[in-house]
Amino acid sequence: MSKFLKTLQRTWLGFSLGGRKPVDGAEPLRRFITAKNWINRTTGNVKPVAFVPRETERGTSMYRVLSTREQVLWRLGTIIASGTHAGVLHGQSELRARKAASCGLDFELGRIPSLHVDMIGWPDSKSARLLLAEKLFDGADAPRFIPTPRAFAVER
Amino acid sequence: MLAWPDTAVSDDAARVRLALRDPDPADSSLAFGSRKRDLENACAEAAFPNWDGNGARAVDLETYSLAEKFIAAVPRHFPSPDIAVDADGEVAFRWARAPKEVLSLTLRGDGRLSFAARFGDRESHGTERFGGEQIPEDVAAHMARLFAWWP
Repeated sequence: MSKFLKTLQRTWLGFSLGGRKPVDGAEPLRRFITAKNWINRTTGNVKPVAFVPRETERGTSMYRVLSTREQVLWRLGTIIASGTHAGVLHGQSELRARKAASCGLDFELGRIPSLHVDMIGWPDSKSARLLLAEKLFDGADAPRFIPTPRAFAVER
Repeated sequence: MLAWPDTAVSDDAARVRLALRDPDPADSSLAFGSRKRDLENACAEAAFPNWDGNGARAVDLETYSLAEKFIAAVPRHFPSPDIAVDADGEVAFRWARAPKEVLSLTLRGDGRLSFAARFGDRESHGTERFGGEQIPEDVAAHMARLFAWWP
């Protein structure tokens, strides 16, 4: 599939009028896990580093669930993963918005109403970002990993 | 041989020295082999631009080589770290005894070593330099603190 078509499909699947509403504290948000090295083999959970944005970026790319069917979210994830070298979606990591808020993070909506939001408010320095990511994983409301169902396991 | 300067004289320091001693060369070699494999696997996956689908930087050879030296500098009987690559293409090392007993590091090819440590409610973070031989003193102190009580 061409890059253009993938972008189109990603935009179409991610489109949601509900995406105009601000993120509520109780909302679950998902991060697509496209790298195997972000999964801890021992605990089966995602490593905090998976949430740390690039130093040149303000935010971490996340997706809202809202009333979207799980199938659509998985399809969206496989399209994103298909742009990587390995082309594999390993799963999704789910985080409650209130957990992010309790760590001082916030959510920025895009211009087009969409499931996509940027988790922003990260400090500038790398070391402070590492510390904040650790705090996200502290406590009973830490992100939980949802492995990719077999039906969506491979997408090239 | 310790991979960082050993100038402390307290009882705590003596306990740390004991904890940092490499006991058995055979075990040590196995541990190093396993860490090196983890490093290779993580870096192989992150060796391409956009390896995460969100524009991640590929890990470069300088970073990989320095990370290899870093794992060689960690006493080999210590627990193996979780090894990953972050979206900046830096190699990440993490040791966690519990959610609030954790040391997290990332290493860049030019030797920048960013660290974050949590010990209960005490937190610290900062940046050091790793030149390829000795683990910087601040980071070594955090490691010693974490490992001195490792079961």
